[in-house]
Amino acid sequence: MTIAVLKYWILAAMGIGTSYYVNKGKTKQSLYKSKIMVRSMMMDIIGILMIIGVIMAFIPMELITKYLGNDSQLGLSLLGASIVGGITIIPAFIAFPLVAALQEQGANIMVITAFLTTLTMVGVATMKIEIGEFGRKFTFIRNSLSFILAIAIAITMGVIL
Amino acid sequence: MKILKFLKKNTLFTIGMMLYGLVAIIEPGQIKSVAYYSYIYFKELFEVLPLIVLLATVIDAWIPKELILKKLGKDSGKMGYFYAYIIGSISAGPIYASFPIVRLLMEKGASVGNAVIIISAWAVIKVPMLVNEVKFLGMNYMILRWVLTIIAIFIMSQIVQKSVSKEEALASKSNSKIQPLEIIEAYCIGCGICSKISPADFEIIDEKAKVKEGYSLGPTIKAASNKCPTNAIVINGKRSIE
Repeated sequence: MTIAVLKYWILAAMGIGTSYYVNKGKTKQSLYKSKIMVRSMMMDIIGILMIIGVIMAFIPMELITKYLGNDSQLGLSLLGASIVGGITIIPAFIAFPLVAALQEQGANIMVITAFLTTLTMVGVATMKIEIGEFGRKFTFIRNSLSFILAIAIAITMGVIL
Repeated sequence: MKILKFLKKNTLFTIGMMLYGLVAIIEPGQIKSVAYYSYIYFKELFEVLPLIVLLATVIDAWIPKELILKKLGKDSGKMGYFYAYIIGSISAGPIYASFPIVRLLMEKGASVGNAVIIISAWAVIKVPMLVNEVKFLGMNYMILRWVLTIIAIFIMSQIVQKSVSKEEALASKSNSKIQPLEIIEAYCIGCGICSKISPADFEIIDEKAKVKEGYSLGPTIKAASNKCPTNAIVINGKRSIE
């Protein structure tokens, strides 16, 4: 464990300790909510860790570089990643290690950013619920704009970093 | 049958198992190094996990969400943008969990633009998640994406504000009869807290909470509604967060 992480741990422990001291009931209730949330993600976490293992050790780096890191077809990779991100529903929590693994194996930063951003902001799977609450026009405009802007964010990131 | 149901519900786990199986068949010698990398990332993830949980807990316990929500409901002006970002960023749960809350805020006076800010910030900017992002992609990456996202969300809110009127956005809802007590099934994660707190009123069937027949609206139901991690329990058309 690195010192930096240890520092955060202590900081967080102090925070929660203070919170507990000031209001036991409130803190307990919120802690319980967090526990349930983590528990409901457990199987997804195990699954993503298995997938990451295969990406890191089994899938040849050239393959990932070819499809997700090749400059000559960056546009296509970018679009593909955005579409996959838009239709997939996985918790953001486990998306970070996944894209970190992909990046380490040669994926382009624009491609992983596009995936990350559309993953959370565009919701094809939840569109039906969104339409139910806010109507077709709102839902369609919001999701299309999110899609376009996610790609814009990705490109900007790639240019700056 | 039960196993099949389990695999279907846990898609990522199933994919992971299938990939491991594939490796075991094609190149059994490789399985050890695959497992090694899974372990490395497991370690990384669980280093930050407690910090994320703690942050989420402190935010949930101490940020006066109700107060901010109240301010947003009125004609909130420029400060409204700020409140909208805050509410979105500190809330837990998936994007669709924001929809009913945002709708209610709109009915109480929040603008279409602010609705877009809340929904988008809710989806993308999660304070505890920023820690995870720093851990796996670095501080520079996180800050840059965060800044760009805030800008992008603002642009988006202004465009939607100009193109969709509030009446249009709110007209869609079919005015279904308000039940004294109901559970929004899409939000329920089947954790069983409600049936534990109030066994006379709730039960878990097929991993979803159901309202029992002959329930009686009382303090235990209210308590269950408050404890529900996804705020899925609706009492007289109101979720506990309101």
